[in-house]
Amino acid sequence: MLSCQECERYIPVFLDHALEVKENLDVQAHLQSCFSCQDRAKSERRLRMFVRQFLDVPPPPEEIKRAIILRAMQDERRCGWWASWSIPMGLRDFAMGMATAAILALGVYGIFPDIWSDPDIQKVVRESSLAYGTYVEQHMPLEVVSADASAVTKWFNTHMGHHFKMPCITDTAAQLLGGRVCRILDRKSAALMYQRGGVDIVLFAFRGDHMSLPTQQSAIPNAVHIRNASGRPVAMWQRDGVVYSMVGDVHRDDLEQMAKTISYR
Amino acid sequence: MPEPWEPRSKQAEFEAVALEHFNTLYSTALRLTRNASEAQDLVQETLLKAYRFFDRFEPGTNVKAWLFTILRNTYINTYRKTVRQHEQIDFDRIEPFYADSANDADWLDQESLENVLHHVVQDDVKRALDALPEAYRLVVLLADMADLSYKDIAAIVGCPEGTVMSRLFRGRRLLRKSLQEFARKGGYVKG
Repeated sequence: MLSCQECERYIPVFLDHALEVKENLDVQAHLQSCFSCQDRAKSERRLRMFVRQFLDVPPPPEEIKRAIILRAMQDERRCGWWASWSIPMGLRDFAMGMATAAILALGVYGIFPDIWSDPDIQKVVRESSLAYGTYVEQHMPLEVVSADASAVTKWFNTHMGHHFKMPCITDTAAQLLGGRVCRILDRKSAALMYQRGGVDIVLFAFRGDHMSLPTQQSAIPNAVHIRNASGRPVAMWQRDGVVYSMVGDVHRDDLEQMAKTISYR
Repeated sequence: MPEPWEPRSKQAEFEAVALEHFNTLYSTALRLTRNASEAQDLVQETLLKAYRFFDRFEPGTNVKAWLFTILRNTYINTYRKTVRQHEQIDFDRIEPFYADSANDADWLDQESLENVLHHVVQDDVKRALDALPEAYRLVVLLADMADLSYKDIAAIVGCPEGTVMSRLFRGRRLLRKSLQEFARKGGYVKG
């Protein structure tokens, strides 16, 4: 038989229907015979119902609901054309090239001569963010599962087809989960998965000899460039011919801080 | 016109799912953004992302939890940045749930609670909820409005179930205290 103190501890979980069978029966038995705990349980239930009743807001009218759903599906068709990985890269490259050419023709490049006008850099940012979204929202399986950076590095060295220094986030709050091979800019890329404070962080690394990310005037040896794509920040930098991009559903300052902790093995 | 035995198209399938969960998504979005227009945008963005990956969604898995995961991530990315300071709570230092619940001296008996509830108004409830630290507010909304399990909430928020229980307990307790405080300030109850 539960004591009142034990029963009180269980009441919130009991009302959430989250107790194990045995504890559930124990609480029920106790409540049947204890008016004080019954009162407490009723009080808790009443409060929840009261709050819920006030929180339940009238939904938008049916036509607005349908319009929102329809718009989401239509926007997806427009954005999804780019987002879909099934679209051949060549077609996407061509279209992006045309779009970039159009922007350049309008003279925008002359007004904003920054690195983000480079179509390859734009694509890396966009594809990194989309790959991140796919991994996180779809729980894409990892090909190597390990918290050991050496083991993960070794796995990539045998699966990437070429050797390069693997980046490792040394921020102690970030935990390595593993990785998989993917494609960024139509090139084989390593995708290292980390978790920090319950948020997934993905770090991509691929050969990008043809690209050239400028080094900013800063104390950071290899400057980190950050850009938002699909609502999340993407950090990008280059080192010894390898392009790195890092994405996470975190604030851009946090992402930049993490990027600064990276070491190479 | 498709034959009745034909499988529904992706669009029709998604529309049914979206309609089924729309109201709960919207209510949660409204309580998170505190603004009807932003709530509609947040729901639309959530549905856009969901539709984009709907092909890869595995039937039989929890679609509601999946939608709320997208809603939460979208909210964090798009709307929360300006209020990030509210998030600076060191949840790792939070004590275990049971140790806390055993010392809950603020519990009101039914009569006192009824007296409090009789006098608080809808705005008090909204203010009490809005005053909660965001992490508490989110789990309270997911549990008490969206009726999600601890397990689903843990997956959505990205923390252990024990932490969900702990945040939920504290969130509800803070709500109760706030409501009590509103009633006390209004002179309706003693305390």
